[in-house]
Amino acid sequence: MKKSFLKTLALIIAITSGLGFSSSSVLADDLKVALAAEPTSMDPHYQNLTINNSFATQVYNALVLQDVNQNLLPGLASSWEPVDDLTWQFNLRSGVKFHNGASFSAEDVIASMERAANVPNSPSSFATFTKGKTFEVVDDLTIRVSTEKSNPFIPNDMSRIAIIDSAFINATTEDFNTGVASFGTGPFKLNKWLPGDLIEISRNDDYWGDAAEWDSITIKPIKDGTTRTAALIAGDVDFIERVAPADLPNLEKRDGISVFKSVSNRLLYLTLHMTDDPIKPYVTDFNDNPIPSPFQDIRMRKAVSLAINRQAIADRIMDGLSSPAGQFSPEGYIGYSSDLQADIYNPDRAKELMAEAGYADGFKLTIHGPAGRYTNDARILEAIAQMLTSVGIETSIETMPASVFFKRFASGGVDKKPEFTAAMSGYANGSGEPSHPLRIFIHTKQKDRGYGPGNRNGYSNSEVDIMIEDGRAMMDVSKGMETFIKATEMAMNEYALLPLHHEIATWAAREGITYANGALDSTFLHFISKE
Amino acid sequence: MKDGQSLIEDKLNSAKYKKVLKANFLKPATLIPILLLAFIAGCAIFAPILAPTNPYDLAIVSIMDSRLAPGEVMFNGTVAWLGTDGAGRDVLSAIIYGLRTSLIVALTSAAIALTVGIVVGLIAAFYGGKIDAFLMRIVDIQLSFPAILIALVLLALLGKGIDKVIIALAIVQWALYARTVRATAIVERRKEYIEAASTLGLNNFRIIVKHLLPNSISPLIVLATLQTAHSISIEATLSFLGVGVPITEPSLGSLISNGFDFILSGAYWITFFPGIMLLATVAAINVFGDQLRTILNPRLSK
Repeated sequence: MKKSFLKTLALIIAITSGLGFSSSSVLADDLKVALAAEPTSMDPHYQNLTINNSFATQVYNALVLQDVNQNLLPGLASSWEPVDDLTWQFNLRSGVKFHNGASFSAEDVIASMERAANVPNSPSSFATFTKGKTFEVVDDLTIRVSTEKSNPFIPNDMSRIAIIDSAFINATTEDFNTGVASFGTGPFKLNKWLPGDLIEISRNDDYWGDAAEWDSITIKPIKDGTTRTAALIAGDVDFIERVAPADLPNLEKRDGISVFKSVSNRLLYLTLHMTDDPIKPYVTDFNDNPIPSPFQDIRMRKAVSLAINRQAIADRIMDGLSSPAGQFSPEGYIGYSSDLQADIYNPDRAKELMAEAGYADGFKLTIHGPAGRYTNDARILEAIAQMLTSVGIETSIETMPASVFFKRFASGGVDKKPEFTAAMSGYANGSGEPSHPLRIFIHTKQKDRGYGPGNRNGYSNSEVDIMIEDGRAMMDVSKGMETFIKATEMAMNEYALLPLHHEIATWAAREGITYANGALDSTFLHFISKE
Repeated sequence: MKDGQSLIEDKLNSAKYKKVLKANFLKPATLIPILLLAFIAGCAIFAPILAPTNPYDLAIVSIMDSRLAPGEVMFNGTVAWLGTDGAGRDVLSAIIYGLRTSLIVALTSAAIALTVGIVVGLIAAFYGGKIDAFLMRIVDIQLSFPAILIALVLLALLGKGIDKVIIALAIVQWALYARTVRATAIVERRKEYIEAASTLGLNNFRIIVKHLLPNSISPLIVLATLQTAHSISIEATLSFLGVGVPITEPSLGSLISNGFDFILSGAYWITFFPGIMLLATVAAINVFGDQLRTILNPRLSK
């Protein structure tokens, strides 16, 4: 009431003083956004999928929030701390109301955890974040989470689960899609969803945090990059994500359009098989006889890394939209080590190392990779083949559809072992849990303990393993982080895998709109604001 | 009693036919495509001599040369007359080598499909009855699917590689040949000379090969020509869709497809020149095939 009075007053003043509308006031309070994809459901517990999760943060809050670099921020829990080695306490925010007017309390947290783990037919369940945890209500505004083993990442897990009103614990996914149950505590309310056409959300005036700047936001899914650019230029939308690389130079030159770029945490890497069990058919001598993997020798792994011209790939293939990488995290992102730099192209040194390792005459190598899964993946592989061939490793490339690739990559070899000697793949840390890449890719494969499921090249260093496990048991997160960074440095210096580059994510908007972008390549609408 | 072979020889040797043949071959509509085809075939055969660089040798190709405009000089000093593609290959060399790949694929697959088609078609026509019905239903089923769809499924199963593309294209095409040869052969089958041959006690194999085949083959020659052009296009389409030849050894189709990514950013030459070459090849073969039909059709050449 008061707000709309002020607005009317401002309008009257503007008109009567003859100012009219200046360029910044051309911006309506209704923002139109074109995204490359739309969520598969409005049920925040239906599918653990990047696009679903980033949209859910508009309508719902979790106990813990994340900023653009996945640092943790207070959400529906205003603070949290470990009570002992096995228990975390979350102190809940008071006076928070759901969009339907219901008050938020500890009961809603319990209900949300329960529902998130048990949505029927979920393609990828949120149960992974609630597994092994016991939730206990201390009082209306206090929750305790306990586990059997000490776990410093419970706050990270709690940042993944949207809190719903306990009244809707038995609501179906359909109830959320139609809007019957979709009441959160987030900065926006869900107005309507027409799948394939649009999503409409409007400001929650009672939001507990900083109120959104837009009265409402309309989201249109536009799959094709060039069409998104055209929609922005034509003024149909105010903001787009994932600018097609070919359109970028044009948009950057154009008046009235701002472009935002940031190095994302999406990493492209090369992995080299480093045991001779089994000998694979993808490394051979020049008579096509399979030989034991030369990459058991660290000098050969380093030679390959030095033979790859990452800057040329960035300039010539990625149109400047990649940043050469020397580790999992880009600068500014959790787990980044300032001591690790991307290898600088040095083919002469590569040849020297090959000669030292006894491979002066080279050998034949087949590198496998997906086609169409990562930006320019096949062309990057082609460039790598050129670069390796020119230092004496006669390289051929085999690309295949992503679904086929990942299956063979993980279990296509004898005894369901990983099939390839050399393969290119990608990784992005979804949950922001700092030990995640180490646990998945670097730790020795120990299936029953959940370690090394993505370790497909046989890298194993007991010292690194111990550091990863120790860090994961430290309730003091900053101390744990130091341990992880040390483990990362040790593994990267041994070329446990070869980071190639981080992709650079892009957004574009009409002048006067700004986006607080970070290491996440998905779009968070509440980071879009007026300049 | 003359067998089929000598009937054709007689026909070709007759003075009247020689005249028709000469008149037809000297027409510009025949001569131009023939010369063009000879040129294209020459390019393909002598590719290693004609091409300025070897676009398949990864030790020479460098991405530092990528997307040079036509006429610019590459890192190793060679002038890229038609520019370079996204991977730094000289487009002119890539066209010459790509033509080779495209022609090998088209001709080999046509030869295999033709052989299989003739065998199936003749057996169906000669034996008739249940065998004919069975074989022709297989042909019906095959022909009811679009060729490109079958080829896509096959390549998804077989994997990548030139040999696999050839197999897929042969499987896609044999049914058409079988249907055509059966139609002609079934007419010939009822003629008196076949009846005479079987009353004479000749075995079925001899009748089929020596009598039925030579008299049923002329429509196939035309069809095979046109199908070759068609299979060049299918191979181009498959490579364009990314399931054809390996990425480091592009055919004309994969060159066009690679260039497609850059067409909006102004590097037209990667798509344009291979496209022109594909168009010229397919058009030349098609026009030639049409002329061949005129020449071989006795009613039209009178």
